[in-house]
Amino acid sequence: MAFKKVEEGKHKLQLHSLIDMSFILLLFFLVTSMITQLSDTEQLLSIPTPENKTGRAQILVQIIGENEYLYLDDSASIIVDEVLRNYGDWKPWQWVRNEIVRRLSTQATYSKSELLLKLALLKKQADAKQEENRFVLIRCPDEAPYYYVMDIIQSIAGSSNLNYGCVGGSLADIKNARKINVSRKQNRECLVIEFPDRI
Amino acid sequence: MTANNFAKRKTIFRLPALIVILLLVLGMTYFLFFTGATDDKNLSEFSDPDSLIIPPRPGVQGIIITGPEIKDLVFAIDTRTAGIQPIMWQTLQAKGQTAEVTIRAKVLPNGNLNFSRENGDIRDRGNPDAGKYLQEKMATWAYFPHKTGVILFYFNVGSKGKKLIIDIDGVKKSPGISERVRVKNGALSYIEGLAWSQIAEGNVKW
Repeated sequence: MAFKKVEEGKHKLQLHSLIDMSFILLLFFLVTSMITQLSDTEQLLSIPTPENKTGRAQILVQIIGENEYLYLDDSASIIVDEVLRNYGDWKPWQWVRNEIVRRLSTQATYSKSELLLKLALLKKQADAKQEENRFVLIRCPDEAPYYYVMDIIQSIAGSSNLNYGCVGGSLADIKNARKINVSRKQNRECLVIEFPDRI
Repeated sequence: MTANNFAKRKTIFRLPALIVILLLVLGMTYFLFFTGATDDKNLSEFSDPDSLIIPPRPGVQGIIITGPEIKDLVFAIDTRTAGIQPIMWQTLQAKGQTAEVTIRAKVLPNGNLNFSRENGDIRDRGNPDAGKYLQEKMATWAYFPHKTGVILFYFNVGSKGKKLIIDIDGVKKSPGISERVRVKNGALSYIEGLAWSQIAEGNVKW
């Protein structure tokens, strides 16, 4: 049986299709490289993370309950200083600490409406004094709903001289503080509270 | 036969040329986008390098409660003021190529500028249109109310050196601001189309 001889036609390279395909590929790589590639500046950008060290604030708002808030500012150092001067040398540390916390709780605990009023006044004061900067730290117990914090933030937001931040923490941290002290830095009295290690 | 060979040859030469061109284009693309060679060119010459502030997160391990932090204030044009208008340098040049205008204004306690032609606060040489234009624009300016007093502006449109000299010897810290607060000087003019290098602080003769 004779096989049919395959006729060998002329093989020609299809230049039109090749050029089309090449340009489509080129366009694809151009577009994707522009979208995906970060600039050198962005590649080298390092975003600082919060430092794990003792912080600094002008006002501490400790949420205790829905209608109970501890508000500490630099005036609280007077209360602490008085207890330390009177009992610090001869009473055990636990007793001194409990006394400080008791006095602070009695003199600096506010209801929600009182706190919001206090914060509104603070905001007014901050707006009036452009040269003064304040940071309000809100400590919220882990189990408390977040709207407690939102209500506080709402009352202080919008002022350029009043910043705020929120961390987790309860009144128990202050009650079990490792250290509560008044120190003097740059001719200013500072209240220092060191919380116990959290597990 | 010869013509056919010639066409074949042409195709053989075209193909590598096309590949080389494509490689060159891809190489250029890589250089431009992947190495970030164009990054710096895209930055405006006036742009300041951004710096990120470490977010404050006090209160996890301990907290130091202090009195309010005192920060420096900046005496500068408050561009957020409603109705504030910049001087367009090209418009000013069009009003008078060789105009020389000296303006004496008072920075009021609220930051507004107070001056008028009737009180002789504007002295102009050359085309008076330039002075009128400056008066119209500068009347809308307001400063942050950290300093008060007399401020002098000397515009020299045709100058080859500094085109604007601002004399702030007469402005002093506002009475309400505490002694311990420093008031620095910022942008004292609001002009578009004039480089900062052509503006200087100095003495202006009145």
